[in-house]
Parts: sequence; structure tokens; C-alpha cells
Amino acid sequence: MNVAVRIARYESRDVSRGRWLVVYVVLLFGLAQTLLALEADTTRALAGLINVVLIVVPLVGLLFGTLHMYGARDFNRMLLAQPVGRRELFNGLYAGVALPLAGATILGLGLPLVVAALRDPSALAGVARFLAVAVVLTLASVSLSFLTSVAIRDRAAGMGVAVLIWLSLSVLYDGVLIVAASTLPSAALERPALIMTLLNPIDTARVLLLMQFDGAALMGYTGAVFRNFFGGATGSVVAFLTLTAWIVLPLLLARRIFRRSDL
Amino acid sequence: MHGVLARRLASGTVAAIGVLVASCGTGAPSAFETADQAAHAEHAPMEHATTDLEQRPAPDDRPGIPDSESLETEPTAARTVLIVDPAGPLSSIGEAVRAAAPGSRILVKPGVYTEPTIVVDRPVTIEGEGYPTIDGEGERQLFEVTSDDVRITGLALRNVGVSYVQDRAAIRVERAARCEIDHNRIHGGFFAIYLAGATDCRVTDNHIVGTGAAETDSGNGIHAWNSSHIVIESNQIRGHRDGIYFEFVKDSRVSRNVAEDNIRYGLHFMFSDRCRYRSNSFRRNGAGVAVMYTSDIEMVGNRFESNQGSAAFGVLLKDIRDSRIADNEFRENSVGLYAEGFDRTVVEGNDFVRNGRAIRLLSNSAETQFVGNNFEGNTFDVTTNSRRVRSSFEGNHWDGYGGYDLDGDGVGDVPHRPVRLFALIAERSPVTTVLLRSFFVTLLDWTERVVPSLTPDNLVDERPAMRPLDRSAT
Amino acid sequence: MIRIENLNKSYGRLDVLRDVSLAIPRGRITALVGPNAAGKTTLVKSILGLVRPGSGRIVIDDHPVSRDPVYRERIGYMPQQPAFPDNLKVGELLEFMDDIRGASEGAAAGPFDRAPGRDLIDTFNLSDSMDRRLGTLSGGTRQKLNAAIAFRYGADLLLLDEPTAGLDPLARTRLKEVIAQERERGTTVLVTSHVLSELRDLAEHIIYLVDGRLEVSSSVHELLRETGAPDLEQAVARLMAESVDAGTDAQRSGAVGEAG
Repeated sequence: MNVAVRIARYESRDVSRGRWLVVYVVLLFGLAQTLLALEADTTRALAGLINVVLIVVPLVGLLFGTLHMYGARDFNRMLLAQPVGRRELFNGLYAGVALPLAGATILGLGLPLVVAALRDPSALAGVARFLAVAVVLTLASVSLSFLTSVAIRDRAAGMGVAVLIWLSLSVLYDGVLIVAASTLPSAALERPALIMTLLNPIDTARVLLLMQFDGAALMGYTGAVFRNFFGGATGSVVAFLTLTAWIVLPLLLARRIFRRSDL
Repeated sequence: MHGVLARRLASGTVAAIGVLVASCGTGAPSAFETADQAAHAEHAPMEHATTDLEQRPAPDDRPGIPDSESLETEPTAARTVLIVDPAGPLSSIGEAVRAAAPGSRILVKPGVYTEPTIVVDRPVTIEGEGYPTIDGEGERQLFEVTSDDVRITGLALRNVGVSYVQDRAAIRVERAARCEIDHNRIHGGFFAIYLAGATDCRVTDNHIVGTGAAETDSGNGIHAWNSSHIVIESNQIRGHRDGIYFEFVKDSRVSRNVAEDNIRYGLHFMFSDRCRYRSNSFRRNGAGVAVMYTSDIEMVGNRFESNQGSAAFGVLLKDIRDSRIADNEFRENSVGLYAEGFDRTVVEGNDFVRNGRAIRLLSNSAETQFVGNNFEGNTFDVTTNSRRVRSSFEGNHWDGYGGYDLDGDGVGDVPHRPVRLFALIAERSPVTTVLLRSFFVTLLDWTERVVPSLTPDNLVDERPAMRPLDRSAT
Repeated sequence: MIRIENLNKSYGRLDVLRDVSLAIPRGRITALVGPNAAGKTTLVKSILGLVRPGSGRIVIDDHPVSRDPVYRERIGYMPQQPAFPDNLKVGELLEFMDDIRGASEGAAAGPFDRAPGRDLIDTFNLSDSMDRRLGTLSGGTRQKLNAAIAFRYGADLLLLDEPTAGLDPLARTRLKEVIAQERERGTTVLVTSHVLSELRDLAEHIIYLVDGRLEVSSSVHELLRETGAPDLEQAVARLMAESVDAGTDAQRSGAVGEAG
């Protein structure tokens, strides 16, 4: 068995036993359960959970990943004093952190939602997409957290940057987009708007959920680019690929930095 | 025609009894038959007929020939039955019609008939046995009805063929009264059934499938022009340009039809006053349903579903006045109800579910009331194009209502403003639609809700219902 | 033997190691001493590959240190202030380390003949703590575990950074015994410590760094002779005094006192 897999196994064991992970599972579970109790049908509960997922999942992914990486710095040195390559250590660390966190997302949101969907099969497709998006978004935000923690040595600065990334991606970015879209002439904005959306992982995740819950509104838009994008499977495929790129690219960059830096 | 007169009187009496029965709660949904026979038999005043049809329990579902007709025509026993069979001796329907005495019945045996357009110029019943096929070979109209009291039933009609110069139809009725077109299967009619100047006609239980791919090479499923007292009921229409098309049609009734996957509109009418639309379903039509320039219509209990696209509407209402739109369901349309010049109309008890925009109300509408509707899971509940609206909203249930009900009377204590700020932004800059459900947008909407500054001042529901309004109670 | 040739390292504008060349003799115990911020830890990290040198190279027994981690098969390392994953148990950590060491065995089988590992679990009475979570361990127990891991795999090169810090006197004595035993069987040991008395009985060779520069690299024997000091502590103290006299700043002299 590969060294990275061995590292991932012990790392994930450590992470899974952490108190915060339990808190996170309970939080997600509570939110999902509350909305399911408040809303008449599962689909509406899901729609209500969209904001929660788009806010909470990236925030937790970013903070948890960054904190963990800073906390593990000394032990990582110790591991690297063993016959372990940096690439292997990095891969193992990512899997060891991201997978338990993704598992927590599935457990916290998935358990109540799947149970609800079994009673209301019309919501099954929505639940499946919802969970897939939540998981991919978790992985992407852990990727970004790894990038943050290897790029910035100082722990306090790193945490600050992680929060700033979250704030930018979840709020500021969209604010700028709205202002830009409403001030620029609307004619040629369609493609840029779509591209800008895909350049933000949280927006990409949001668009994936929009396609599930606001199809009627999206199809009401006049432009051909949107209609082609949102009309068929193209949009979903492109958005999922983009979100996957948001996992892979920051991670590769982070690993490159990690392999070259002094520890 | 003494029988007819007697029948009319009797029908009035039965109607009165029917009212009593219905009020006792035994009203059956298919309550139209007998009243119709009355209208069919004689020009009963439409007012009368409508009260009738709303209240009246049906004797039974009609199998083949309605009993009224047999009752009515029995005394004129002179009528004959002609049998058309591909094996002869009589193998042409047209020939049979020409040979028939008025009031005859022409029974068409199974087979495929290709013959010149059949002109029905005398009151006869043409009845198919086992759906004999009449094929237009892509180049002609199949039936042209020019006489009153014609019935065409049980036929399979196909291949009318596209024409760019003539409104060709599988069955065309020209200036005739009391025709009855029922239980036919029409496939590839350019127009399927075309009524021009028809009165008191019934088009029921037909199964109509068009084969057109574009608006230009496709006609309408059921097309009525300059007609009155028409009943269109329980037909299924798909693949045509418009499923049902009315222009200058008065006092007519469209019920329990299903129009889906038509190229343009499921239902399209204009200048057609005093018509009633009940319990129809309009699904996945290119542009939904459009009704224009008409007063006094009633649309009750219809379903408008999955009409999606930049110009697709559950219902588009333009210059509609003094009407009633009630108990309908608008589901997953890009725009549920689009209203322009929509005056003095009541919109009540409808369900708006998961539409892009449930209601788009333009400011040139006045005195329309939206009462007791349910809004659930719509992206936008109400959008408009002005800061002042001249219509009112009251007692609706809004799933986005954030207020409370301290006195527990089921009515929210805080008024609800259904127009979101983001709806205005998306209005002005449609490309921002892609930012739907963004946290930033949520913050914007929330701010606007706390300090309204851009959304319409008087578009407020002062008495929002805390719970979805129960439909079974109405 | 470890040979370090013209090693330079700087963090930004701060030069941490300046053209350091030295040799750490095989089978001996070498003491790496110097005031704080002298570059001791950076030197050790360079040997481990944790720090990438700016220039120069490090050769261990004719194998230049490279990115290939295989050479670390033969190294046992005790970091200063060890940190472990809080939620693993002591037993699991040892399992983890065994796994990692075992994992590379296939790939690295051969190049080094390692002596059998030394199990210090009993030496430090750790067997009762196997089920305890690492987050709950005291500093002393942590350090014992740190030592246990460093000695566990029969390394022939031990890099011990302040190995006795935080240990109780008994454990300290035992650790020194173990180090002595390792030396007996020919292991190369590099110890950094600012408590020179700890090294008095052990060190045979001494490397003295000041401000990133190598001041002294010689056998203890020679050092005593040259400085005329009666023991290692005094010899080093004299060295430090010299470097203070040579005009180093006050801050460093404070550090010197600490180092003495």
C-alpha cells in the first residue's frame, strides 16, 4: 500500500475523532432537520438549505482545513524526517482531512435528507444533486485552505486570509458582479457573466443548485447563451467539471508550493 | 318539432331539480351532457345553458350516440342506414353522402379510404366502425361540412398535408349549426378541426396529433372563428401550432381538454367574450396560453404546467376585463400569469408553484384583485414594471412571508411585500438572473424588506395567510 | 559520515547559514552548540531535507541529500518539542510510524543495513500509556515517546534536538545510557543542546555555530587542549566570550549566557 494512503488512514482517524467535526455534523443535521420540519415538502426544504450550504460548507472547509494544517505543522516535520516524500505526505494529508469532512457533510445533511427523500421520491434527484454539490464544494474549499496554509507561513495571517477568501467568494464577489452587470450595457454581458460565475467555486455550486430549483426562471431568460447552458445537460456537466477543477488546481498549486518550501 | 319544444321545457325543469341535487352535494364532475343536448336541440339562451351545466348532474357518460338524439330523431323514422365498405358495393363515403337522405346514418366499415374531399351538405351521421382510416395523401381536406346537424364520429383521419395558401383541415365546418364531431383520431391534420361560422357545435373526445415542426408549416388543432355556443370538451391535442384557437367566438365552453407539446400556444384566443374554460390542462406548450382582447371570461380549475422559455407563460392575459380566474394551478412555468391591461378581474384561489415568476403584473392593469392564492417555491412571486400598481393583493399565502401571527387568527400581523428588490434588478439587467440565491442577493432583499425604497409602495398584502389555503374546502 | 560543503541558507534577507563546511564523523557523538538563532536547527533541518539549501550540498556517506526520501530510512530524529495528532492513541502513533517505515521498505530495500531497532517502550514505562490519547500526554511523556520513535528503527544516524528537555532525571539518565549504547554499536549521533553539562560525558566532537557561521568544528579532546579549559563547558564558555569580544552585539551575549 502506498505511503499516502497509510498517512491518510491515520490522519483521517485523527480528524474524525475531533470534537469540531462532531459539532459540524450536529449543526448540519440540526439545520436540515429543522427545515424539513418547517417545510411541507422535501424539495422546498432543500431550496431553503441552499443558502446554508453555500455559506456554511465553504466556511467550515476553509477554516477547518487551514487550522488543521497549521496545527499539524510540527508533526508533518516529524513525518518528513521519516522516509516519506513530500508529495506523498501532502496527498495523504489532503485525503485525511477532506474525506472525513466530506463524510461529515454527507452524514449531517444526507441522513435527514435521504430519509425524507425516501418518503417523497420526487425529491430524490434534488437530494442527490444537493449532496453531490455539498461534497464537491467541501473538497474544493479544503483545497483552498491547503493552498492558503502552505502559501502563508504565519498562522494568524493565514486564518485571516482564509476568512477573507470565504467572504470574497460568498458575498463580495457577487456584489461586484451585480454592480458590474447593472452598470454595463446588457447586450454582450451574457457570456462574461457566465464565465465570471464559473470562476468562483461557490457561485458554480450555486448555479448547479439553481438548475435544480429555479429551472423555470432560468429558462425565462431571453439570451441564447444562458438558454443553451441551462437548457440541457451541458450546464450541469460544465459546472461540475469546473467545480472539480476548483478541487484539483488549487491542490496542485498548493502541493507544488509545499514541495518547494522550507518547513 | 314538438318533441324539441317539449324537451326544452323538460330540460328547464330538470335543471331546476339539478340545482337542488347539486346543493345536496351529489354533483358529478361531468355535469354538462343534458344541458348540451338542450342547447343542441334548440337555441337555448346561453345564460340558461351555463347555469345548467354548472349545477347539473350528468345522467351517464355518453357511449357513442347520445340518447337525446335517438329520442329526438325516432319520430322521423324515414331515415336509412348506408354501409360503406372497401369491398363494396358502396366503397366511397362521398358517394354515400350524395346518396343519403337527410337524417341518414352512414356506417363506415374498417379500411383505408382515399377519395376526394367529402362534402357533407345534408344532415347525416357519419360513423366509423373500428376507426376506418380516411387518408388525404398529403394533399387535401378530408371533410367539408356545410349542412346543419351533421355528426362525424369514430373515424381515423390522416395526412391532410401542409398548405401555405389554404387553411386545410381534416374536418372543416363552414357556416353550419349543431354539428357534432366526436371520438375521432386525427393525425397529421394541417388544421385538425376547423369551425368557421359554426354555432352550437360540439367537439368532444377527439384525439388530435399534429406533425408540424415549426409554426409556419403547422395549423391549429381545434380552430374556431366567428362562431358561438361551441363546446370543446375532453379532447387531447398535441403537436399543432396552437392546440385550441378561438377568434371571435362567443358564449362557448372549453373543458377537460389536454393540450400539450404544441408548437406555440396550448390555448390561444382573442375577441372571444363570455367563454368558460374549466378543468383543462395545458402543458409544455412552446409559449403556454395566450388570451387577448376579451371580456367576461372564466377560467376555473385549469392546470398550466411546465411552459418554459423566454416567451412562455402559464397564461398570458392581454386586455382582459371583467373576468374571473380561479382555482387554477400554475406550476413550473417561466411566467405563471402574465397580465397586461388586465382590469376588474378577480384572481382567486389559485396555486402558484415553482414558477420562475408566479405573476408578472404590468402597471397598465387596474382594479384587479388577487385574493386567497397560494404562492409556493416560486423564484419570484410578483414582478411588475412600476413603483405604483393599481391592483390589490389580499389574503394570499406567501411561502416567503417572514412575519408572525401573535393573535393566532391565521392572518399575519405584519403586511407582506411580495416584490423582491432582486426582481427589480433582474428586470433591469436580466443577466443577473445567474446570481439568484446568492447570499449577497439575500442580503439585498432583506435590506429592502426592512427599509423599502425601490419596490412598489402599495404592492402589499395587508392580510397574508399564515398557512396555505386549503383547496378542498372551496 | 556527513559532509557539509559550502552550505548557505537565507530566509529573505536574513542569512541563517553562511558558507558552512564541516564534517560530522561517523560513529561518534557530535555536539552541535551555539547561541539561539545561530542556525543549529536550520542545519539539522537541512540534513533532514526539511530546508532546501540556497547553495552548497550535504553528503551522507557519499550519497548527496536529494528529494528522494529513501536516505531518511537510516535517520532517527527527535525534534525539539514534538507534536502529535491529538486524537490518536499512543499505540496508534507507533503503529502509524511502523506502517510508514514498513511502507517504504519495499521501495528502499537494500541500500542501508540497519541494525535492529531498539524498543524503548519499557525503558520509559510507556506500555501503560498505549491507550491514551496523544493530546492528553504530559510534556515529559511526549518526549519519551519522541525518543522511543527515534530509536525504534535501528537508524545509524541519530539527529537529536534537545533530547533531554522536559525529561525527569531518571528518564534523562536512561536516555543518555541509550545514546551511549548506540555509540558503542557505531551509530553516528548529532545532538543539539544548550545544556552543555548534558553533553559533557557524551560528546566527542563539537560543532560551534555563531550567527550562521561555523566557528569551531573539532574533537572535544583538541578543543580542551587548545582552550586550556578543564572541561567542555568552560571551553565553550571561553569560545563564546571570544566571539562576544570580537564585537558581537549585546543581544547575542545574552544568548551566550543562556547557552552556557
